[in-house]
Amino acid sequence: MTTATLSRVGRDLALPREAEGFDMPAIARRMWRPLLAMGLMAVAAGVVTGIVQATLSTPLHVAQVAAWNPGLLFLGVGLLLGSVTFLLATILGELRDGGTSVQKALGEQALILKRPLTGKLFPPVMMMGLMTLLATLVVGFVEAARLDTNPSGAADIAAWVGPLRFAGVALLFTSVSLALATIVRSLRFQAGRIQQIADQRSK
Amino acid sequence: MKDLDREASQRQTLAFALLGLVTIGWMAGLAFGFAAAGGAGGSLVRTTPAWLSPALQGVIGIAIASVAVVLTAITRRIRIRAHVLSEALPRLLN
Repeated sequence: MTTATLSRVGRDLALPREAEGFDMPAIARRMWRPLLAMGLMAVAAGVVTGIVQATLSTPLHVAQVAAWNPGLLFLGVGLLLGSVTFLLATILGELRDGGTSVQKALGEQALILKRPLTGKLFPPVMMMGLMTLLATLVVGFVEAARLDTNPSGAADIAAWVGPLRFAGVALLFTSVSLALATIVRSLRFQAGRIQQIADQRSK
Repeated sequence: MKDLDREASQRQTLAFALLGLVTIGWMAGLAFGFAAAGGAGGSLVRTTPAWLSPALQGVIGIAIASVAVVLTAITRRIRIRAHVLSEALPRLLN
């Protein structure tokens, strides 16, 4: 439906502001604060648990806390990175709205960048990262429960859950990179649009 | 516009303060790590292996939070930039 209204600005595809459907930055504007707060709380809880772990005397209890606490800390870091991703989406929204107001002030049709592949990919990649970290926290509790009854099973879990945590964080950094790449495209689009308007007026 | 400018400046200052905290945090972490490796006494140093990694992940958390604070400052600067361009560009082109 939007293909009929597509135009070209430099190397990028553009569409009228009013033709944009899903408004990701509007969701991001509401979501970054809760994610930041939850992330800070999770990290603080992890740090306090680490201090409590240092005071425990029973080796089994120490091992059990050591099994799930990294999952809590990684989830906290992941939530903070999710908040950063949402803030980058907010910046994309500000660039879009600012560009729209500049074009309208010039009396031109307000065109916006058609969402590139990087812009479509970064929200699901971020969600995949957060889901992975949430799953590793749950698996950490399962590992802690098995330490008492089935230590070899717990050791098996410990062997793969650590790398999985890092995979979750890697996904979140990937989403940050994709969002930054989208910002780069957005800035290039804005420069191209100003150039296009100036060219049209100088003819 | 002045409010946006003030907010952006305040957030930049806050981000720098958080970065100061991060710097102190990782330096203290390194010091505790070396103290634990050197076999120094004291209950705090002896229990270091248990709490140092979580504490340093807390430092990473503060560092990421400072990134978030800087991004909120950037958001405000973009709004100011859009406002200035909307005002100035029509006058320049006409």
